[in-house]
Amino acid sequence: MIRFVCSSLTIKKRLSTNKSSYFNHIRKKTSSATEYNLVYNRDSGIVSKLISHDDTSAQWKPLFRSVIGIEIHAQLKVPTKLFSSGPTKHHSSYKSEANSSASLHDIAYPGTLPLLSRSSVRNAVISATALNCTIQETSRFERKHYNYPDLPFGYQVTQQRWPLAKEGRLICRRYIPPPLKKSKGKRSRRTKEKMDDSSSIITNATNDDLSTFFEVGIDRIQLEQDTGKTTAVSSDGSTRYLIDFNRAGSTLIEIVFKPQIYAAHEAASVVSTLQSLLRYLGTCDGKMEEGSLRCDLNVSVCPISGDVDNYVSGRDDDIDNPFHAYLPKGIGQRVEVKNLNSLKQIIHSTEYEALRQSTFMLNGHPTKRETRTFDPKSGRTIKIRDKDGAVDYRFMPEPDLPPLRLDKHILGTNTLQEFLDENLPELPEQAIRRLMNNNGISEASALIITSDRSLIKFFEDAVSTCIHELEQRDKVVDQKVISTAIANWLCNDLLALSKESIEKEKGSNREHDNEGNSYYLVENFNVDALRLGCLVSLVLDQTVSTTQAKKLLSVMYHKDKESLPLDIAERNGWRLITDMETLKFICQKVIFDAKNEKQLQQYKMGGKHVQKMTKYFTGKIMAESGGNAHPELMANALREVLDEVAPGVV
Amino acid sequence: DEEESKKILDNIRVGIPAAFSIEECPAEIQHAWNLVINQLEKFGATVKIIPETTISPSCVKMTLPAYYVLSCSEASSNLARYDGIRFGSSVDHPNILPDDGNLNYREKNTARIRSKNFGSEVQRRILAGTAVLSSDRFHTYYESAAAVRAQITKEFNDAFRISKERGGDDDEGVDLMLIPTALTNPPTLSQNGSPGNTEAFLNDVMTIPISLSGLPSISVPVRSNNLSSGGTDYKHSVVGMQIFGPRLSEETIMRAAHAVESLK
Repeated sequence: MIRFVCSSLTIKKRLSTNKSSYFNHIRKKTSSATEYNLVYNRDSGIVSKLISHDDTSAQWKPLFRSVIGIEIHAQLKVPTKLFSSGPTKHHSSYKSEANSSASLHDIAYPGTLPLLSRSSVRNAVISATALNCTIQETSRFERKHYNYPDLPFGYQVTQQRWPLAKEGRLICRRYIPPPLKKSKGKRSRRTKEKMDDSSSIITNATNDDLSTFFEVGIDRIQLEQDTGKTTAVSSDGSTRYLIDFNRAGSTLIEIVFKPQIYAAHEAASVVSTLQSLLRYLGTCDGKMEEGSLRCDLNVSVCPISGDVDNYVSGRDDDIDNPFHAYLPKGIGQRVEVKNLNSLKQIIHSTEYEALRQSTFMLNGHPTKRETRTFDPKSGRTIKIRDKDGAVDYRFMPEPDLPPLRLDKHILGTNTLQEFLDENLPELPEQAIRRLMNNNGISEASALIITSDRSLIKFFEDAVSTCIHELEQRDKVVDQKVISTAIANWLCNDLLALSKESIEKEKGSNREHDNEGNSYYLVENFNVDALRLGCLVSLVLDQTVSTTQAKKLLSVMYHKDKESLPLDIAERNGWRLITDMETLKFICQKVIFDAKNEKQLQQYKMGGKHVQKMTKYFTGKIMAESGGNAHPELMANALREVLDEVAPGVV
Repeated sequence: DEEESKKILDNIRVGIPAAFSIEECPAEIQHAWNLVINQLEKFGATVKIIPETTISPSCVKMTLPAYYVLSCSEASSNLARYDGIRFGSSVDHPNILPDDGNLNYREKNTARIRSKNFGSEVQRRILAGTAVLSSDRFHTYYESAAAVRAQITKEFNDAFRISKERGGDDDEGVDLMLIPTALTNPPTLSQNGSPGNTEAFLNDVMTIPISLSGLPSISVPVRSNNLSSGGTDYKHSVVGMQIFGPRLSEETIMRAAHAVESLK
């Protein structure tokens, strides 16, 4: 037995100046009475123990690493339920009042039979293909039995053993939490927590580390039914449970990832990337807080050092774990954490579990298989049941449905490949690469533009408009310059205007809305691709200055939603003056103005006055021109005029 | 008219599976069986025996336990929806059940509603179905039963004729099969309308294999004049004869049934 000694891996870490708050922070995280000072690193997934510390530094020993498996339930964006024609919230006739949109089949009324929705299958096939899975041309439905009020049939129809798709992968960009404000006591700690909320793949686009990718395998993707929704209402000491069946029978796809995730931030990346991808495809709206994307985690910890024998993990009890083969030696038994509704909850529950399980391992009583739920208020996980209380689901093949064969009747095309060719859109990473290579825009811009397919189209239309406009005016501008200019105006200026106007309407002042990028909805833009393209063409051929263009954009967005930018510019007199004669005229006007007599004399004196007075005149001329003078040309004109007036002055 | 009646079953082959010719078959039922065979031949059909190598008695016998496993499993599943929440009566104060520490209030309530509202036979079947679906029994019971079902389906389908359009040869297969619907006489009122266990078994074996295979079937009453002497203490003259065929053969079955109906 090879034994590794970990001392060579001790990490030196700077303590914050406020020692006691630091340890208080740690104490909050662990469930036990911190006889071990353990800390979890959310990026590396390593649980380390404090060995020694003095006033300026501390020594940590890495002990465990976390291993995480994720199961995601995504509610598909289809108009009817999976097995009935009842409307979902994506249907025009949906009523949101409780139990007013539940069809007879949805409430398991006797005498109804399931009828498979083709759009659900198509939607699922597109999602699974975008996740690089192998689509099974034949899959089967089964019943998973358990008793709960929101499960009307007493079973859920799913595809446990014969899923629709297998063996995929998701390539994720590393999650980077937003920059933290400086800690200033209690209040900003709360702010810090709040800021962890947002998915920051987009907002930190300028970070150099952005191009770090990692890959996670997908075991399978299966179609299944959603349950109804239970709400607990407490009053006078008793609790009533209200059940709304509007959601019952909705189509879900369950995406099971392989346990190849090793840190809390990686888990957040995976969920965030998946959420963006499904939204991009249009197959799921990915609203975690509304429940259209739900996440369950499986967390376990594994000792890092080779001293595996020191930790009694009892791994043999977990032989029914389907991922047995992938897991590192000595790993503890997995704990399932259910029903996580935000990235923040995913990160916090992973951290909590990693620390909790590590503590128990160090105590010599490693945790066993359990199912827990996360309590956001306390930041802890709470046990629901342990392994002995595990439910036997009595899986039985669904007798009322034939095997699901992906044939012409279901897909509408002769072959699966034909269906994919017709329906699978360009995927985000392909789009990013295409925009960067063909259009030459930056990765940061590409990330923003490819977050939504209609935004890509907007960008492309604006670029073609701009090219066309410039050609019409016989101006030659490099394509990459055009693309970059459009990208900048789109990502920086137009999106900001859109976000601002939506916040005003909604009255919210959240930095990043949890309902997911709704300000990127192109329909909300008051400036269309045509007008933006025209505007940028005016900037590029120097018809208007950048400052003027920003004013123009604001007018186009808020006041005049119809006219072309050139018309608005002319109406307001916002045209760059580029004619040398005109410029010289203005220069002369200013220079020979009586008010500026003194400055002109000073200029004529030469020396240090030249620069100073040039600046003075520049300012006055610009003002005289109403801000419309072309800066460079105006400078040239000024120089010419001054040379005429005071030749030889240096 | 005789001419016309001969045309109805022209070119139709009717098979008599040897596996169903059980020795316990009472005389009047055997007699009815022969009457029907003659009648079908009169209407133009040819009748042949399907040997035990094609449809095996051992498989036929196994269909009974297979059927009960499968039907009880499905019953336990299909009846799971009756929890008293959306429909059905609700019951307050579940204090009748013995105190089972493993059940919470809601679970006890559901158990009480179901115990009260399901009849005893239904409860028996639900419990049996739940038991065989449990994870440690599923393979031994449910999957074996499903295999038996697949086997009997295959055996029947191998005996049926495959039409030329579907690439079969015309020589061996049959279009319909003929067996009695029951192997005993109906239970009398003095028997409280329920047969003894062996009788139930004998009767089930004539219908269950066909149900399991999902084949269309019809039962036509036939008057039989030959009464057995001794043995039975009542006179019976009507016997049910069963005609069945492959899937989607309802039209042919109806024609044969029409021929049998015209027996006087």
